[in-house]
Amino acid sequence: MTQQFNVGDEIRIREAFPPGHIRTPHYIRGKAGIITEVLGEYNNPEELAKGIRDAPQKTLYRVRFTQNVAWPDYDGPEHDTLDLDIYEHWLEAK
Amino acid sequence: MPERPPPRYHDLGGQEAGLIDMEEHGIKPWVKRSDAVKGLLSDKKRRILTTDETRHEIEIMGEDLYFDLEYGERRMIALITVLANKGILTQEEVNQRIDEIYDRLGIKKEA
Repeated sequence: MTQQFNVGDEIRIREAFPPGHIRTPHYIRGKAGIITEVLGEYNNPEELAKGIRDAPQKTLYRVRFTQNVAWPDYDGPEHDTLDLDIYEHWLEAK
Repeated sequence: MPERPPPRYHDLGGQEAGLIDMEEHGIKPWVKRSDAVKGLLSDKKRRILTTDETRHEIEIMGEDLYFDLEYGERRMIALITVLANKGILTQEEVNQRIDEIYDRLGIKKEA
């Protein structure tokens, strides 16, 4: 069992663009957020997409971003936030 | 800093999309049935494919086909492709079965 991050940690989403089935949205890659929940370990969809079911599981985190970080042209209130569920291998310490 | 590539065609978050269509569309029976078939093929008992394999097929079927098809159609095409890649059925068998169903129902097949 690996859990590299904890609730409250400030992280950044990796700015990577690998091929294959990637569930981390393009728009959030490279953006900074804060972990609000540790959701448990799940099969990695990037491996499942290749038909591999027995790859090591990955810890999934709920990450909160402010909308104006997620969207540079956001013109709503500053306190608006966006939550995304992101697998550990897409996070890096800020 | 390396160049940031554009999102792939299926990764639509943040793009201009207009107003949300609030009409109820209903789900066609074949769309429900094909989802059920996918569920059975990927369950713990059969483990023939994973949902993520069909998702990946949708992501590589090409932009033109992707935007030509509805949601259930994309999934159906992907399901056939995954099964064909695994040698479980062939596209010819699927086409033959489609023709049989057209004949049985007395429907002329569109070109």
